[in-house]
Amino acid sequence: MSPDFSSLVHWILFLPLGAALFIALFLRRAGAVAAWLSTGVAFAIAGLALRLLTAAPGDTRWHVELAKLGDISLGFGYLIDANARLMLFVVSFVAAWIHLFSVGYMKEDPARGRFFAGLSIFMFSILGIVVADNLLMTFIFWELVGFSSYMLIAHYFDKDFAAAASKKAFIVNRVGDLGFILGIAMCLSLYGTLDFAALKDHAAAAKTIPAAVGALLMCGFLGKSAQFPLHVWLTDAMAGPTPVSALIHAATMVAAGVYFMARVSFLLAPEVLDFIAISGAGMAALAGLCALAQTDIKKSLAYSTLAHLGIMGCAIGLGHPELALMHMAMHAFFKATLFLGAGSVIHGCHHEQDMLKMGGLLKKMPLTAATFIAATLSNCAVPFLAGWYSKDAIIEAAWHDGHFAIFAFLSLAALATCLYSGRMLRLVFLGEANSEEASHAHESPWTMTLPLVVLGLVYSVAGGFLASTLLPAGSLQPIKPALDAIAFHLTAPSTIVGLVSLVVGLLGALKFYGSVRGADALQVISPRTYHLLEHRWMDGLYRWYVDAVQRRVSEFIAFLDLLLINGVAVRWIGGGVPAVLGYLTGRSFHRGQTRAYALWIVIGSLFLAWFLIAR
Amino acid sequence: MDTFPATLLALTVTAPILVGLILLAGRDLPRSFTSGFAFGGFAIPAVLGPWLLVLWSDPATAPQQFESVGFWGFGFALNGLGAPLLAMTSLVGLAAGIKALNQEVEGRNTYLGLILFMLGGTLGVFGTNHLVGFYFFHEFALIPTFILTLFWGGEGRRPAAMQMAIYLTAGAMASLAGILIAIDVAGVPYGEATFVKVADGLQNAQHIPVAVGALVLFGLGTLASLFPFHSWAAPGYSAAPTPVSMLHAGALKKFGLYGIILLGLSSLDITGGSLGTWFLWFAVANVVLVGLICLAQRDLKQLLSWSSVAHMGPIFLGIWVCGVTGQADGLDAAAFLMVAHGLSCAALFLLANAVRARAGTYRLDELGGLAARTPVLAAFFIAATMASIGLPGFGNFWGEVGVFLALRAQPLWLQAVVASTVVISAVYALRAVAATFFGPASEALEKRWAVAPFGDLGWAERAAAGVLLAASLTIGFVPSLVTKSVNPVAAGVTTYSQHNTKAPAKAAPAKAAQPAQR
Amino acid sequence: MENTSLAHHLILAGLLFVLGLTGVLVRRNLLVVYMCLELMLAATTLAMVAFSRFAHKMDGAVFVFFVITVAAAEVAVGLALIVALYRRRGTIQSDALNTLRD
Repeated sequence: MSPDFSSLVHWILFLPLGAALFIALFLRRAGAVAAWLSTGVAFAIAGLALRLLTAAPGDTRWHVELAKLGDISLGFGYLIDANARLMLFVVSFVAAWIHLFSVGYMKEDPARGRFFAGLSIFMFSILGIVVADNLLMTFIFWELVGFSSYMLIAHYFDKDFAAAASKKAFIVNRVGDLGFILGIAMCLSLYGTLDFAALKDHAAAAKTIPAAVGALLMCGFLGKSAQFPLHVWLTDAMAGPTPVSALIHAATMVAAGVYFMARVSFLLAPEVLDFIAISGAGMAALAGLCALAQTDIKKSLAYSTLAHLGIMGCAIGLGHPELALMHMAMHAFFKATLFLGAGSVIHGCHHEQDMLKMGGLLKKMPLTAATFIAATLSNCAVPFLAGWYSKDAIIEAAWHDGHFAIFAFLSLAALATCLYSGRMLRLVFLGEANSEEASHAHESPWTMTLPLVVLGLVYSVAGGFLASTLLPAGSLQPIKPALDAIAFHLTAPSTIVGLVSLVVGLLGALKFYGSVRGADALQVISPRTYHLLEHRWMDGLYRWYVDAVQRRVSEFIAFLDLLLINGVAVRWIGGGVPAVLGYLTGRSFHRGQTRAYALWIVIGSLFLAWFLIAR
Repeated sequence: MDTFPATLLALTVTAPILVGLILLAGRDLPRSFTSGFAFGGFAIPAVLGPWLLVLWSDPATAPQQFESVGFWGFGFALNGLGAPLLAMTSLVGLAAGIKALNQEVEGRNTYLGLILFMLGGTLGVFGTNHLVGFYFFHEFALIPTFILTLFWGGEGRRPAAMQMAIYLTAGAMASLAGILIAIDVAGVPYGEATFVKVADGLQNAQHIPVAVGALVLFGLGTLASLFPFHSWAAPGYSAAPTPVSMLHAGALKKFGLYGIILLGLSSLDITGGSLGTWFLWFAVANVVLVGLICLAQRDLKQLLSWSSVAHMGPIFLGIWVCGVTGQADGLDAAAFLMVAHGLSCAALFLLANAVRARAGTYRLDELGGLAARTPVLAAFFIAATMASIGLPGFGNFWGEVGVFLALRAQPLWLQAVVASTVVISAVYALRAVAATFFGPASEALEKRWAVAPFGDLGWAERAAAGVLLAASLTIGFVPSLVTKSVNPVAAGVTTYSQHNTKAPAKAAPAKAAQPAQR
Repeated sequence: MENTSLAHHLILAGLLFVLGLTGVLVRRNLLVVYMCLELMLAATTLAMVAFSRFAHKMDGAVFVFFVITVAAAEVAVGLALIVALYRRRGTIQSDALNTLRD
């Protein structure tokens, strides 16, 4: 029926694992070799994924059972449907160019070998999530992705904030995973299987699906894709090297949650979908506004990512998982470009990350600037650029389906996007240089600019257009009808919103933030608003919980255990029993008096005699 | 040819004991000779143990191949549950042996000899199917630990050794009483009291006193650090010399569980009635309360000791849920976790000792920044930590997730409470890693480095930790190595347990399952 | 005298036994304790001979020889030990020989 691509998928999945092992065992000191090996493997995978994407439509399946625990079957297999192919291509393509970027960016880093081993392990993990055919396998690679993220965020482990950030990311992810595994257990209990295809059949046959199943599985999505209330780790994760932020925390790992939700969308009850939609829209608006209060360029982009993830979540919540996937694909390209551009800028300014100290880089780093601007325009959903196809479709879908509150939030999000984008452009590229480093900035080497050009100029600009024309309609079947249904109208609400945001937001921000030099205009004009947006409210809540509640409870229980169980129970029983016995016998066993021993012998033999004779 | 596996099994158990005897007797032998000899004593089981597991190809015929008849029914025999535990013990023993050989101690021969006795005793526990033999080897392995802790231990060894000795002996006495009464009630002569015969006998018994189940559960549970009988564990492991902690937490703890499964679960209805309720709550306390206690620890070795107590929680729950629901998956997962936990726990104790050797302290607030100086140690330690918190790829994952999945029919709040170990263990484990390895170097470390720069993990330490981690990765990637041999035993035990507690309708499968389980 | 019965013999043996037992429990001089032990042995020997006579069997009487032999050996070893003990500790009062701390 459909050609069997399982061997192709074997290569795609296990090449990076092999590369990671090889680097870890043999190439830790030989950084350059490790870098090129890892990059080569990444490009090979991208090529294979492209082959897969352009092939004829039809699902590929493969499955092997690893072991059985009682009646539970632990299986490993692939389910390559249209969504999987798209995601495989997006992930591997973006990742390949980020690998290339890293070769240049990490050139002077002595721990390069470890870094590239981490990137390869990450590739293995994320591709595993994409191809998985059952819930348990997804969970396995989910956790592995969390581990790769931990390892890569902690790359600069001699800095306290990097160590703390990696720990936070892992733990918050694990909180999400707690809900995830409970959801998996519930699926197994209700339907007796964990296989996606079988679950789809069960769900179709069942009248209603309990909301709890979707709610628990959603916890994994909340953790991995940094949705409320588990969003607190993403901004701290910027402590990792910039390519890590680009690859993991913008393009792929955080999108894995969206991909998973799309995969299991048939298990999500309406209440769950409503929650996702509302919290996603809210997050989109709020995060976009918070991005206005960050001076670190990477943190600002992190909030931007949070906003877009909210939009993707919203799309799923509205019942259009295919739109969410498309936005995820487009977002991967332009966000990766933005982060890589930020990396290039940081590299050019000699590791200065504060936007207020940059400025005037348009002339000094023209190629970086051009790609950054192109990606920014895509981010702001300028018509006919890649971002526009997907983002406006979602906003239109909200209006179309009658969810006006969500429409309002998404519009606010669109406005906020243009605002912070304009701010970023103004502070970084336009105006005059605000520091020594910025005035001596220079363009980055080809290993860094080539990916920018490819991802930025080519894909961010033309991505949507390319997607709909060059590739055979078959592979993108799930997306086309959704796109067609929401056709382009000049008077459509989303278009109006988009154009208004562009004019007011982008141009307004460009003008506004140029008014004060060397400082943030909003902070100068309205410090309270700035503080409101800048303060990390959820973080404060979590910090309070850990310090005040958790620490005290655990210390109290430890104290109780020592006092009650160890002190009272053990000592008293352990000391008490011999004390009582000793009192009863006058401690005569222990005094070394032979007469006492003789007495006890007599008593004992009398007892024995009674026992033997009388019974 | 038929007796080849049986011979291997006998050799696996007796080799360390014989070598230990010779070492204890020959105090004046030259050091190089004793080192080589002792290494042989550790290495032989390490080779034979996994080999025996691999030879276990057909679960239906395998148990008979591994039996050897001795005197008074006291021969060696291997069953599907014991085989992976035997393999795990032999590997942990090898790692402990390498560590012990690397240590500079007084009375080295006695030290090594006693550790070899520990190893041989533990191997004997898993290598016999006779109840009295089980108890005999159990004490044989346990008594050297008291002596070793008392004379060769670290800080606080006197009170810790005394507490361990009295506590564990009390537990052992309770379990012995339970075992003897069980054999008596089953009507089996002491010379023939194998697990199967006793289980069969108890199936047909008129009335089993409730106290027997309680004695066996709490007596053996003391050894497996079931809450609230766990107080001996943390000070005991902290004070014991490292090879002893490795073997104790890794292997000896598991024979309490082994006995609970093969005697308690199969025949004594430990999960029914009020005893079952106590069991459940104690197991949950292991997960939650002891987990919280771990969060409050400030000392690395104490943390590891408490966490080894906490990790017993999911294992107990797997056993409990098997008895309650009559499905073998919980028991399979619990057995898997027993094997995997032994490997990861031993590796962590070994590597924590390596940290102490370099930084001079176990206190978390005095450690820091070690990864920059000793990257290989950091890598191994993080790998072992990831294994113990259940990262996929290592064996612990299958065990933990298996238990969570086995609990699927239980109330959601119970599942959530049990699964919270996923978060709690991550918190304290990663906190320990960050405090020890990440961040800038602490003052204490700087001072030590200035006085005597220390090196990264040596080859011996790498070999020891590497063996354990490689084994964990192997069963993580190929779980069928363990499940193939455990599943039939678990199925058999489950059917036996159902007969005792549920309607007679389940008795029919019990008869059918008998030929499969021995 | 033909009027004595088994009971008389056994009562005599019992009295001798209790005398010996009391001596063992009460006296402090090790040699006296030893003599009382021998008295207990003699009492049992007497009882055995009485049984043998009144049951008209030889078993009891023969067994007495074994008892006497064992008693002799035991006395030899015990006295040697007491002498050695006296040489070491200078006393054979049982309550003075205690080295355990209270």
